Amino acid sequence: MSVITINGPIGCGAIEVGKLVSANSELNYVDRLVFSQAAKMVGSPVPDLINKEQRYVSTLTKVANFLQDALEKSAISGISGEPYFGRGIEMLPAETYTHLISSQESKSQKLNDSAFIEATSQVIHELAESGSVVIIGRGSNLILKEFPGVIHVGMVGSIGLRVETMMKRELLDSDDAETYVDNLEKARVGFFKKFFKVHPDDPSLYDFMINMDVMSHATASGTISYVASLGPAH
Amino acid sequence: MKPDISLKELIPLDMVQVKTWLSDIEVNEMWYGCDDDGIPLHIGYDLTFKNDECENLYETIQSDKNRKILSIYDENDTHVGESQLVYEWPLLEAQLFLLIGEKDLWHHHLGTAALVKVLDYAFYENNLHRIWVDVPEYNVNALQMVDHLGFVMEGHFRGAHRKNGNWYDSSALGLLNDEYDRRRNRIIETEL
Repeated sequence: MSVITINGPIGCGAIEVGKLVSANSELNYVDRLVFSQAAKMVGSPVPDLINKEQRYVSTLTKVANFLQDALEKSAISGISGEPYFGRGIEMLPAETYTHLISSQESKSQKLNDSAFIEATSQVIHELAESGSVVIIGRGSNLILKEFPGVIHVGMVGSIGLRVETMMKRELLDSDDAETYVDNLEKARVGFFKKFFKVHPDDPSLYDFMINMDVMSHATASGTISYVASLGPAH
Repeated sequence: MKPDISLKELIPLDMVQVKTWLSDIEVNEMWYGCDDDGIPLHIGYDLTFKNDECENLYETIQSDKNRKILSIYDENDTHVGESQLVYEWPLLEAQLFLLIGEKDLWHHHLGTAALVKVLDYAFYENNLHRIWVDVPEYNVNALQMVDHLGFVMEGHFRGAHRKNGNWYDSSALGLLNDEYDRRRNRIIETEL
């Protein structure tokens, strides 16, 4: 029974290491599924939530988004669920359900920051309460800061390492991968600053940090699994 | 050489064919197995239908706006499989299912070719934002296929999938429309 959060810049290897930890320690593994469940709560498509976390928005894009938002409307109706989280909408508190239903008629459904972070926090807390899970990213270390017994792992890695990872993962050439990594890193830092008022690479936010330039995925996952086997960090 | 496949609207006869495929233990074992009564499971309709009930069942399926069943045909215009999209329209997403029922055609990349067609349909005709699949651990070929097409592992759950009285791990993998846009051309240019 362990709950482990792994956070780090994109391309560090959190996904690969997280999967290995999940296999080694017989834990569930949750990455972007956090957002698909949160999406059901706020009634916004998953990409909208991901954009909150991962999109570096230029001023020009902000203007374009504003105009687009003003024109867009989205409808909410019955929602089925993913198997791991039950049926979804009918499992939500009544006030959330009412809010979603009331949005069905004509109100523009803009994804506001508080709804986004509340839904994400609720999903992450529910996962932690299940007691056996590796959670990747999404500020999970901060959302579960006060949650007893959770092990928070931070990762760091050079830009070279991260570009190489994204070239393989996204089939990008070197220049595109570097731009991609750079934009996502700006967005990640912005996400932590906006929602948690901290810098994501602050070591005090983690129980321990791993330098992925000097550790293989296997060694990193073995280290994390070993620490988890020792019992709760707090 | 990539297989040339096409998607067609479901017809009642296709459902009878799917029932025949899934009565083969080798086929249903790779899919969802059988229920406690030994009836092969099918996500979408109950396979216990009699031939004279097929038309009514077909009408019911076709009237469901939250589900689209497409039949897969090969280059010889032979019915070889079935795909389904189960929509969550408010979120602009769908769960995707794919079955190549003709087991002699397994490992000939028909599944991959069909999946590209279904993703094109989902993203470019339905304008969905996200497609996701739920793959049990024993279906290694399906995991490799969706991984090849750029699906991202969003979650892996231990003992979440029950088949024939046993529990298996299950993986949820998702693909967003912009990810598919970014990867599609490179994916179909590479060897399957």
